[in-house]
Amino acid sequence: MENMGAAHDVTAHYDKVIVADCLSFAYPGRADTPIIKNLSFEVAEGEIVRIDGRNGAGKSTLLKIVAGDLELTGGKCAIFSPVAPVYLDQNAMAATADGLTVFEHLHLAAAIEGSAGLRRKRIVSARKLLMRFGVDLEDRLDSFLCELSGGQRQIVALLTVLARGTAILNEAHCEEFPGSDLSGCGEEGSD
Amino acid sequence: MGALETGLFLVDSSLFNAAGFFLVALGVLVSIRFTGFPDLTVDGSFTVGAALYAMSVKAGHPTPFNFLLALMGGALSGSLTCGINHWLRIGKIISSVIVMLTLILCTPYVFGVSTIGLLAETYWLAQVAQLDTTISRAILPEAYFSLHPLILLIFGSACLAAAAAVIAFFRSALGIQVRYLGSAQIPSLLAPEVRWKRQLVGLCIGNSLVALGGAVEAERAGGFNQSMGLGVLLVGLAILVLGESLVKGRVRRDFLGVGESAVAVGLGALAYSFGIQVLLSLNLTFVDVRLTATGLLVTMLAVAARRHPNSAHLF
Repeated sequence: MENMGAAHDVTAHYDKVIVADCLSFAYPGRADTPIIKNLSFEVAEGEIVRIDGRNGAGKSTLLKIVAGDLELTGGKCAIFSPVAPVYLDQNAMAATADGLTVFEHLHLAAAIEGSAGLRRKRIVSARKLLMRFGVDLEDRLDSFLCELSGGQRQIVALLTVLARGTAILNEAHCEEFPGSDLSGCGEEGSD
Repeated sequence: MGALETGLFLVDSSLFNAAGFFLVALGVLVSIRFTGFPDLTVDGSFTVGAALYAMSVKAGHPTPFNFLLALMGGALSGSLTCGINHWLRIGKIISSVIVMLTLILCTPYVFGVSTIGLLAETYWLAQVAQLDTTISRAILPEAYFSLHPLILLIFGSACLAAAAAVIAFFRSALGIQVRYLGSAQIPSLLAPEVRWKRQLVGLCIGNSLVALGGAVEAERAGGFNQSMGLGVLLVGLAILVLGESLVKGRVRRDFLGVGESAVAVGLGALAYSFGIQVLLSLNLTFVDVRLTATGLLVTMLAVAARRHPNSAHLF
């Protein structure tokens, strides 16, 4: 990916939250075939950015770089508060743990208040969180993830990620969460 | 020997053996199941725990310090494996094999001997054992064996305390993060720089428990020898799979919570230990604890693969 074919739709003010300067990235051992070369862009607060590209162009790689999951081989990527990007893989199911309960997933990301407090207090807090999102999971706190449907698992993964920062969703999630502002961005080959 | 005496002997010897087995299997549960690390270091940390305990007893240190030393030796072994894997970027299995072999091969050089006997030593647990013999003689004056009521009370309490600590820790936020590593296919909800640190925590705790099991075994067997750790991983895995199958059959679920897993390890250790004692009481001279563990592990994995596939999936 050398040139980001992004369609900018500036809906708010122009305070920069992500500034990428001459990003370059190659996977270890493949320095001669970089996935991203000298890519520069800026994202302002409130701005919606769509990344287009063919399969394998490096869209997911770019999102992982912004989230800090991959180390750059060149250039800089600065993230400004209040944005704290967290990458949620296309396969969110794989990011959830079969052997942990819904409650433990929320606890995992300190999504619930009083993480260090009494279990009873934490359960009340977790229930409130789930009720706020209206996902019908508040009575299934002790269910293991393997006992939930695929959609419910994706919701748990999203809640866990949102608790840690601003979620970066991959295309599959745009279809999974039709109520979100990102619905409609789920064209094939878009991130 | 009457039926009562036989029964008492079986129960006493099963419980006496089960204490060490329980700690080893609890360590295997933490390293392999919770942390998701194919940790073959176990054999080495068991040896190190036993050697440090025996050496410390011989040096005349107080009993709590002897066990603490074994715990620290285990934690160091786990950190070595994690460090080699993370900093040298060597694969998980190879890292743990390297540390395991290094620990087993180097222990005699470090301590200067390949065996350390404790039977002639005078220390607190030896005095408790003497008291046990007196109590046993009073209860069963004609018996050729001795019961261990006080030692069992001490070891049993230590095992319960270890299990309670493991349950409490792995229900905490930090413990859940460690368990997430062992349960998620792609642990992307944890930042990459956090993952190896949580892995380190898991391996330190797991190998500490195994080393503590080594110390308990050195106490039970009356000393340390270089080969006592060989194959201990198989014993731990056999107990874990056996216990998990028993509990999963009961709760009718494919995944167990932390408390249920600890109960599974306890049941597995008791069942395994009792099985070994029954085989030994039949005067089967070929019975070897590790060989039996291998046979049991193969059988249990074959059964578990059909009934509880994720129990059979160890690494």
